[in-house]
Amino acid sequence: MGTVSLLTHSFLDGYNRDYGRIFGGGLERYIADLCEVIRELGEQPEVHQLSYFEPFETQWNGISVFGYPYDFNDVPEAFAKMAERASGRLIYASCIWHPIRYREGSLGICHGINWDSSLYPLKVKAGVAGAIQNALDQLSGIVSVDSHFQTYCRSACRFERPNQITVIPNSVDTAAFVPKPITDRGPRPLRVLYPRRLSIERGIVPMMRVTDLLLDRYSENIEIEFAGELVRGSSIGDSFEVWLDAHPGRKSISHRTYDFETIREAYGNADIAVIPTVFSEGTSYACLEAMSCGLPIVATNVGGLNDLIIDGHNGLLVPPATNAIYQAIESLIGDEALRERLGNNARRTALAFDKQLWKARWKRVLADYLG
Amino acid sequence: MSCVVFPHVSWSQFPYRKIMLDLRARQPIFYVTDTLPEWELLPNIVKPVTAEAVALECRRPALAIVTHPYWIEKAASLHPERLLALIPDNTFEEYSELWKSRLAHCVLIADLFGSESESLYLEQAFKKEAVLLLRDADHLPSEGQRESMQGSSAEFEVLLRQAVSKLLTDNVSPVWATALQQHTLVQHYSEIRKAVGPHETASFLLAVYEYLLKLPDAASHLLESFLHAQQSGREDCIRTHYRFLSAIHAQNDELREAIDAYGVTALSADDRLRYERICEYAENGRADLAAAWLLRENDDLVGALARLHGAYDSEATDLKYRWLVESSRWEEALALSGAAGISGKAEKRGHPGIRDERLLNGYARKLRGDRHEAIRFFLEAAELDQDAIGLIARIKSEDAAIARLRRNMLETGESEGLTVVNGDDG
Amino acid sequence: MLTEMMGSRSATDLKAGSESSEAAVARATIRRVRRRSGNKLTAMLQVRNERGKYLTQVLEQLSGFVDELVIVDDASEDDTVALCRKFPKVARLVELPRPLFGEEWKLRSLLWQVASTTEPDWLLSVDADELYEDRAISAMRPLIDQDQYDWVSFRFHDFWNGLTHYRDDEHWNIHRRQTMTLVRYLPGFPCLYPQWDHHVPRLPLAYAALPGRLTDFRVKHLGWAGDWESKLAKYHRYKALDPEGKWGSLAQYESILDLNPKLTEWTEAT
Repeated sequence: MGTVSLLTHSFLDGYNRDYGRIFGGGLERYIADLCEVIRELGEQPEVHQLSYFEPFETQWNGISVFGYPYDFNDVPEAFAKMAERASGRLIYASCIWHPIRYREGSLGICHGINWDSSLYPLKVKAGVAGAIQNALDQLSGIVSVDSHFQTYCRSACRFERPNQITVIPNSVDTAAFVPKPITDRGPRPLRVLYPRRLSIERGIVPMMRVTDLLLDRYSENIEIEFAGELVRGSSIGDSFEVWLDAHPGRKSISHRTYDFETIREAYGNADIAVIPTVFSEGTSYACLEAMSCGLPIVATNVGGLNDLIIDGHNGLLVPPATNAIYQAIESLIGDEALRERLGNNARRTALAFDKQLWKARWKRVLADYLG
Repeated sequence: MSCVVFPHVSWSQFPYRKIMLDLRARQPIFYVTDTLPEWELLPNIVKPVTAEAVALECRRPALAIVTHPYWIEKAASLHPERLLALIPDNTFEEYSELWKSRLAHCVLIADLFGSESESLYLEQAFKKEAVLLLRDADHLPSEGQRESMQGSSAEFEVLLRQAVSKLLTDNVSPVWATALQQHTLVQHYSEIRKAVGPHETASFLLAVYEYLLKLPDAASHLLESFLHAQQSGREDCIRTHYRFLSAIHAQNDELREAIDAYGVTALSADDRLRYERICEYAENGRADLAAAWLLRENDDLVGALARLHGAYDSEATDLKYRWLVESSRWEEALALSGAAGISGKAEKRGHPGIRDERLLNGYARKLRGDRHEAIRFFLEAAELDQDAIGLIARIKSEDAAIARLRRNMLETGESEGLTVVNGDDG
Repeated sequence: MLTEMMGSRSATDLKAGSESSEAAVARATIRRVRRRSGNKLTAMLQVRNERGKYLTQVLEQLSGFVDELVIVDDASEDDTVALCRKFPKVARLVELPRPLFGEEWKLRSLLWQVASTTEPDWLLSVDADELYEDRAISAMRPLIDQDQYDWVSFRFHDFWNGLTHYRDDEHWNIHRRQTMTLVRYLPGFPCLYPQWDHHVPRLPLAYAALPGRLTDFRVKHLGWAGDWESKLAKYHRYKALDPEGKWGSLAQYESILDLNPKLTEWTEAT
């Protein structure tokens, strides 16, 4: 049995020094799933990750995990250290926007473009282009979770093999995330769900603004749920708490944190899901889960969301602007038939992203890579 | 009609009890506190109320009084008909950044601002017309002999009571009381000057009060204060003392002398640039802009804005707008930008104009205690500029400051033997 | 944070606001209080009975590097005035009918007032027995053609018993300190002198509040370079003016008569 080492900036919860659990984000979940695929291929996965605090070495689910403290300003150096120690074939599972010195011929993963904020300086974007070119020059292949990154590489970089980038969109367990039967829903206000971490890039600001507008219009006849983690003490965390506390309509607003399992409840109780990403989006797990649960989606046309939603077919796709998001939600509120049609199509679309398909795609890539 | 007091201490330590009780027409008096004193300590007309319950107990009170700057937004949120800010010395967390910014709000929205500290009082006297010094003139320059004037210690209280009374019953602005008191202060410092001779502090303060009252001897008193300061070895007396001469000359429409006086003191790189600009304004026939800048350089905001009154060209309005924003006069800045279309001139890319306008609206709402409205504007600004989120986050630290103030009041109240009750009624 | 965005508002077209007569006056070019070039240097002197002393030499030297001379004659009884008139750079020459020598502050104040009327840029206060070293003279123009400081000081040396040595001891060490004699004239700036009868400072006290420049350039004070008789005469004059040592040091007055003062040879700087 050979070893496959995944190098990443995050896996176990290094932010809170809780090395017994993986951090509740998409990247970490992805790595856990990928480890499962590697094991199914008869290989032994290892994870090497960066640590905010002390170095550590532990086991999680039978996987050895190594934590490395690092200098925030020198991520490439940190990855080089991890690569030295890691055994077997390497998969660089994050930080592709950094100028990492890759072990030649390794595999890389891009979880989505995170430098597509319209406000980022050109100098930053140019730097990233250089880093991506660097990755293409040194890695044998890159798995991308969306077409967005693939298109970016084709337009900003130079590489010889057209299949050097393989798109494997993220997945959803369509058996676990299922639509809630209509009979289960009692009479209650319409619920709009924001099933994301509360962060700037994921659109918390437009969502708060949309909430203000919705409550202006519908007051007690609507509920808005924010279902995601909040970083306490951060600027956005404090702002959200202040906004909620001061809101005259606070009875109609709720905030709850769910885990991978219980998030299904949130989808089950919702009528509309909103994915108002402003920038930095690969293939959103939240979007896929909501689609799999048969919810009509209002999503912004950012990053990999464009791979999932076709406007008017399985959701409404709008620019990342408050008024556009609000109007889309409004059109769904007033039209139950539209909600049902979009929701049904969303569910069908989700089937094409089922986890088994994702695993099969990865197995093909890994089979090639591991020879 | 009711009155609400947002204090910094318990009732038994409250320095303005007498004045409150004399406002007999304004019953009941709600006293915001987490402590419930023994009944014999609280007069009948004074009712304790927690900060959480006050909005329910008295909507739109006739009068709100704030004696700690941290309370200003809470007080404003009740939309009182009249608001007084009476700030004693040595209040909790005095002169912290938040304290200072809240104090600026007090000055902006209060119908009357009072301070026990003469230096704080003077600072505000240049920004606001209705100000009172909450003490009688009983202090002297440090080198002089200390002389307390205990006999007249009620003078300012009498004045304050009369000013508040006229304000509530006849809608008369308290500026008359300001002028009256300043005349008394002129007399006071004249007497000190007679006793100790020309003095860097006494003569300076005399000059300042004469300036505020537009009395003629301000220049000569200012010069003698400068000379005394210089002879006493005060470094930087050119800036701390002499510079004010430029304001005096500007006030007297002696523009050339004002510019020269300022020019002498323009030693730093920034000052030199400003001096050059002032000269150019004068040379280009813009005496109004030159004089306004000179007054502004001497922190006379009221005077500076008055000079620009009636000037509607873009240069003057841009300047007025900038100064209004710098001094947190958000509402006036908004009114001006709306009238002059200032925000519309901003470059399309990045929309600084729209963002500015959202921020101004947010600040203006916050000033009046309309927190939710303010946050809505800040959110709109945050869509254009992520940093604006910090303005919302900051509110949390402001609330934390009020919580500390309340704890401090509890602790000092406990040391007085007052009974503590659960203050979380809200 | 809003105010950070305010910095780069640019001035747009200047439209004239309503203009008062006062504004019209200001419309003329404003003479800047500090200028980096074209500064006029005016030397100011108070003279009294200078025949046979150093005045001619001093005026000749000054004429070589200043632009104008302003002189107040304190009721000389000899031909000092005629001597002054020989120099074409003398812009003002005031002849006092009665001497103010015993009230030195009045003399200094008057000299300053008279000098002010010539619209000077820089004033150099010179006594009739002072000569600047060549280095100082060469540096004069750069010293005044700048806008960073408003006064300049020099090291004065009391020459003793001739023109080769200066006195350097406990009571005679002015060369170890700085003496402010060159100053930028600032219109409107307080120009009061302390009301002393003797040893009044050269320049109005308030000017010391301004930034200045210390230099090691030297000035020769020749007042004590003469013979024993002249020293004795001065000694008596000081003792008469200031018997109690109100304005100066009694011990210093006595030391005028020292028979073996400590002297240091003067070497010209290259």
